Amino acid sequence: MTPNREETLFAAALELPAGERVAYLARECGADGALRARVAALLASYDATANPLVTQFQSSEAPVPGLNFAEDDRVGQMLGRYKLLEKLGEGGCGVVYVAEQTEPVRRRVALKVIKLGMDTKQVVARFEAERQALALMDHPNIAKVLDAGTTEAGRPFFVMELVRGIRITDYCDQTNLSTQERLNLFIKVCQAIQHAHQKGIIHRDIKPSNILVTLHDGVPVPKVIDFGIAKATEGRLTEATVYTQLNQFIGTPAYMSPEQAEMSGLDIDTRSDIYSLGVLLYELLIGRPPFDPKELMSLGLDAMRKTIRERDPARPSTKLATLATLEAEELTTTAKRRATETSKLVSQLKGDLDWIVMKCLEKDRTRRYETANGLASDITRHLTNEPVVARPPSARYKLQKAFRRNKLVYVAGTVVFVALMLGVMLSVWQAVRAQRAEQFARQRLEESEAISKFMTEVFQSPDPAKDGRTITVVETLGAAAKKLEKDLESQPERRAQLQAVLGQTYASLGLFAEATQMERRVHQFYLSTSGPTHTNTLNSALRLGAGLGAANPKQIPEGLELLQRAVAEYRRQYGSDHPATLKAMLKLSGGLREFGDRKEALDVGRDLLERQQRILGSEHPETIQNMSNVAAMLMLFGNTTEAVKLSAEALRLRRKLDGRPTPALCEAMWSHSFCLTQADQIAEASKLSEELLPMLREIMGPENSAVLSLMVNMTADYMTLNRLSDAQRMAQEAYDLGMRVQGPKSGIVINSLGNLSQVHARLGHGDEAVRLGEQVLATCRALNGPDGEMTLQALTELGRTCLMVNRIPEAIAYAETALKAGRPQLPAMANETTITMRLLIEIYEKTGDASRRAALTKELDRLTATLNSTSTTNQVPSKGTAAKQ
Amino acid sequence: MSDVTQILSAVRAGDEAAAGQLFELVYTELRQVAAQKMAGEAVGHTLQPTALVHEAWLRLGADAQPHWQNRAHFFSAAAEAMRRILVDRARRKQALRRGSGAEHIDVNGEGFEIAGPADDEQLLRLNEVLDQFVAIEPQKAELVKLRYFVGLSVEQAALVLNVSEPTAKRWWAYSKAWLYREMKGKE
Repeated sequence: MTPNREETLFAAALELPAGERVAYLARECGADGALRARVAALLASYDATANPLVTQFQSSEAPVPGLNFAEDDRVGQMLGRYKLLEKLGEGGCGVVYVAEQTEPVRRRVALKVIKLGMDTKQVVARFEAERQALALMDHPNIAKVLDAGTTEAGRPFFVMELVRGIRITDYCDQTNLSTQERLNLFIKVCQAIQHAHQKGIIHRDIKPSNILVTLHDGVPVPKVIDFGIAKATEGRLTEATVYTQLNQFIGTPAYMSPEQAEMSGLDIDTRSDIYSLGVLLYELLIGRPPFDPKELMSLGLDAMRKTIRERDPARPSTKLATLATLEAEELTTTAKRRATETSKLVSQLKGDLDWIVMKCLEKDRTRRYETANGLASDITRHLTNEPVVARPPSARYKLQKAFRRNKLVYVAGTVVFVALMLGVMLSVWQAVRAQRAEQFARQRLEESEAISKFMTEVFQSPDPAKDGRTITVVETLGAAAKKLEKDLESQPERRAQLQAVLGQTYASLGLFAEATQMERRVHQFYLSTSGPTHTNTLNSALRLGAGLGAANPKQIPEGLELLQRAVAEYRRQYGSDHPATLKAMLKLSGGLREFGDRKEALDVGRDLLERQQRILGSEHPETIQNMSNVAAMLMLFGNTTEAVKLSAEALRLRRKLDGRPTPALCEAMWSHSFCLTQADQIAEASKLSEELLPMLREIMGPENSAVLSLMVNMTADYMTLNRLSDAQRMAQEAYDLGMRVQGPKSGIVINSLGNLSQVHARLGHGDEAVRLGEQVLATCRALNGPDGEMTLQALTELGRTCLMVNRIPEAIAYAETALKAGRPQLPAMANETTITMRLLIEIYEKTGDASRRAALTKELDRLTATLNSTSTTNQVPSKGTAAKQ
Repeated sequence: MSDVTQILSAVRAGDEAAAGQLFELVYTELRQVAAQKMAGEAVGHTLQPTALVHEAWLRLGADAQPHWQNRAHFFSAAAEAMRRILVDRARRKQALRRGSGAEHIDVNGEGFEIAGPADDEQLLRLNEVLDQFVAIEPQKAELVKLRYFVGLSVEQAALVLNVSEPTAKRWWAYSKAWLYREMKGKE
């Protein structure tokens, strides 16, 4: 019995809102006006009040009493050798019972009676055909299908391992699993499917209700049920039966692969399961499948199939974000279920997880993962921050993977790309606006396209075997610089603009040599084309001037002169109080602080602050930034009280201005914390640092070097405060992170080991303290040689540790070794040697070795005297932000 | 009464003659049930077809049927029987009305009145188009009979017809639309 066209159209239209039916029919019927009229008449009749078939059933109809059609009266009955004990549940296509098997073994099983009309003989025959293969499956995450048979009512039933669990989606939501936990659970599902695939079994009906989670000793174990049932119950899906079949066997088509939706019935392979796994993952991640099941059903068969075959679903993150705007309330619930905030969830999904899911959902199955294992491996790669295979690797993508670990670099990379693209678009727009002449516009457009192509090439060039650390960014930028030079020879202005962007990117990465190289080219270009007083020239002079000293100390005078000249020129053109002049002064003050006369820097800074407060107001970002700078310099000149007050004010204003964690707020916090430390207000400083640390992690990325530096600072603060367990925890964290990011030979790691050693010493753990100290020493010797500065420091430090834990002979041995190595290197190693001598004097005082003590004291006095006479000490540390280094 | 099991088994086995026997059995039983019921009730009381079928069902002992399909056959027979009874009654009523125009008539002289699901005019027109429907959509027509004349719910009808509930619902939607469209076409 073939559903005729009228019937199909009628059913489809009925699912639509009344308002859309007319349009739908018009679309579907096309020129066939008669057909349209007939279906329209059907729709009108359907709920016509005069229709006796409607009126009779309008009131809530009581089912015929006493005619017990339900199947649950089967409880207690025997079904073959199975006794039905209790009804477990009722689904779209069957009723599931708990049953007891009596022979050959006595056990409880799940028995599913398929309640839909179908050819039982065929179903059982198909099951028998696959029974052997099914028996081969043996996996902890697969519920075995044991048997099949026929009820006396002629319905097929299946017997399988009894699993008392809940749907995987429900489990995840009820227990508020995090995304990571969900992924781990999902990986187990993939492994189960992989096992089945290896045995030649395709599930064909993977969906949440077929994956139940049970707890074993508190550990969630997913179990895939119903293997083999979909295949056995799957009839020849011809056009004639399709409508019925669809509803019968696939409760929701939302999980059906495009090739299954084709209904050819002949061409299903393991990759169909991969697709369904992708849908499941989608739902696990954002709480709903890519296509809304209700919407799909309402489309009618043809449109539904077309949708599944042709419409590309939104990426999970996009879908989630869309939902956010559509159903704000619901989203918060979804996110709450995930125990994380919405935006976090969205950003968690962006990138890897989006691609992994979308690769599963490819319409063309050759583009999906080949195996369930492949899918699982990619998720594992995502979890360990390795590049996933879910999209073809490009340099840009691999870079992004690396950027994730260090957001500063990441931001820089994005800035470059966006800025360059923006530049391209702007130039097009300008060209079109300025020159209406079509010919010209087209030419500019072509030029811009060339630039765009250029950038795309740079960022997407394949990246052979690089591990994707920062170095790769540098190399990419280098390639971009080279290409710029060559390819844009004919467009020098555009080239200068792009070079400036590159220069700023280099600077933000701390690569000042490369940055100034770019800026110099830019500056020269403007100087020669626009003249020395043009704004473009002055701006480039400021950037170049600020970078030169950092690139090479020899260029400090040149840099400062550029800055001075630029400020003077701004003053001349705009006056001393013009915002542009103030901006230039801020650069000059920064340059002076870093490389020039600090007194002058302070003067310029104070003068600037007065003008800023007057012209820009106290709450202007530049004013606040300068406040922090001036505070740091005041601190250097010993004006502690004023410094702390000013940096506190800068922080207060910055908090008010930004209102949320920003890099600028982090800087203000860091700066104030530095001032507090210098002012010996350690407790407050560490309190601020404790607030800053998570913020830095969030903003800069958990592996950013600033995070590491702060952790080292915090360890020092904790030691000062004698908060030893905090110090130990922080040192350990810094050590772990340092090992991961910078390797065992990095300063951070060595420093942290030293800190750990000291903490243990103070806690009286002598063995551990000495062991760690020796480890530090060994690393320093390997890196720095037996007589190097670091080695001497490590020896002295270890000596002090030994003294502290009362291992006097070892303390003497280490300190004497340090002294022996340091003496020949005077006066270069004067600082280290002095410290060593002081330690030894302390030791000999303790041992009562008066003669040695006297000799050393004499030597130390002599040494101090020599040093005082020869040096012009500069007590001021080299940088205002010394704590950062 | 025990022979109902035999007859049902024969129908299940595809015995055409048995199907006719079954129909006669159920038809007779329904009429008897109705007559007996009516005897104990006040005049003017109308019987519900559903209740009648149920009564017949119990009296025939069909609820003891071991085979599911027996139930299905029984209800199919009951649906057709009830249809026949209701249609006959409506025809007679119309004929009498044309003759006298009287308000309340004992239409069949048997002393009972069955609540027709619609007015007689409508019922007869429905009966007509239902015959057409049987010719082109026999299963859906069967569904309509089970629903309309026996009063089975969609779920129950689905079980009798051995189709899924969603299918039965879809069939029902289409059938009632189709039938009414055709009825109107004949007005």
